[in-house]
Amino acid sequence: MGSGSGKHLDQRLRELAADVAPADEETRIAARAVLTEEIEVDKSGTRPRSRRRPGRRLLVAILALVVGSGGLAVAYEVEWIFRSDTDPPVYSLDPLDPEAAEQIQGAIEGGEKYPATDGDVSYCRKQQAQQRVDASCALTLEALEAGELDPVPGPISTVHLIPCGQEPGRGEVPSCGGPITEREIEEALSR
Amino acid sequence: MGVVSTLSDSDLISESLSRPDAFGEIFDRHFDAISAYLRRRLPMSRADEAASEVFLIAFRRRQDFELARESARPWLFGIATNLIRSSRRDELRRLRAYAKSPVESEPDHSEETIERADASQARPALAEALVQLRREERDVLLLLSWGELTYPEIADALDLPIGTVRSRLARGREQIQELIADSGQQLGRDDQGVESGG
Repeated sequence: MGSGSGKHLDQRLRELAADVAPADEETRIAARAVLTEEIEVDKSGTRPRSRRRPGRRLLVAILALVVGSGGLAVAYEVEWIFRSDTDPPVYSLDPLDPEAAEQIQGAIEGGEKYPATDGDVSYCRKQQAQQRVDASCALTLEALEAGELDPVPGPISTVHLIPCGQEPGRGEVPSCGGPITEREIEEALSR
Repeated sequence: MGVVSTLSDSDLISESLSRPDAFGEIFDRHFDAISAYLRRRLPMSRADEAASEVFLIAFRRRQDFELARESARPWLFGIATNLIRSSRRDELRRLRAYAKSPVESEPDHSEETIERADASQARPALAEALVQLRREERDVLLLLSWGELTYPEIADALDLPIGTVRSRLARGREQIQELIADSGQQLGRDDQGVESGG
């Protein structure tokens, strides 16, 4: 270690973060389970679905805001049309939550090609950890890894990009292109 | 959790190439340290995800681990640091949250109490100084104080010569002192002058 003043600063830095709580056992177990799942995948020799960008066609993205003190999803009629086959992608934003809309709109106006909130990124990373990355999150994650995405603050929002029946096995999304229903959001969250 | 083996990290990772389950013990040994570090540098929810990602990435890249290294600790902190870099906005939000921590008022005037009060008053300035630092210096400083890595471990984690680690530490400390001085605060009584970290 260097000088006394260096030690003094390090001590102050440690104090700054001294109150940060360690992860609880539940968090630890969950993280261990994710690793165990990956180990099992490795042992079985089957690779997880590619996280590379899927064939790019028109995607209709529906922005759903998830709010609620108890964590219960409450959907607003929010529609976010997203065309990824143009460069830059075309967005149409018509949310009922002005604060979140401003955040996203600001990101778009700032040149963000793939605007997303922290909540969106969190949602996509969860998919990534579960090795079930859908087409929309593949875009988000790829943009993130490429440094092309700087998520805007938005702890209460999540974006669901629901392909219009284009994904095999996924089936038609009835409201594709229109306001998403609460039931559809719950289904998306449970996937 | 099973019986803890006496194998080194390197031995476990080597074994995991043919027996993937062996990697689980790497998680058991290092999760708490990695998680604690990430929780200091990122908002809680993101930190927990990142901690999980560190071990996923490490497992997937375990064949790249240099088996000559005894401990996986610096390697894992290096992966964690890369994840923090990809979450710049999250990181800055976390640091600014420290600045908003309440400043405690102290009732008596003993020397120790006065210094504690000074330190407490300086918290916002210290947090803001961390925000202002270049990422290169911030990473080195925080791997030392929050990650509790040694200089050689930091060099290993960031794949830097140890001399670069020392110079970044010295530069980072100096900049923090200047930024705090500019804010009209001080860290305590003995924060005058900054020497090179080595």
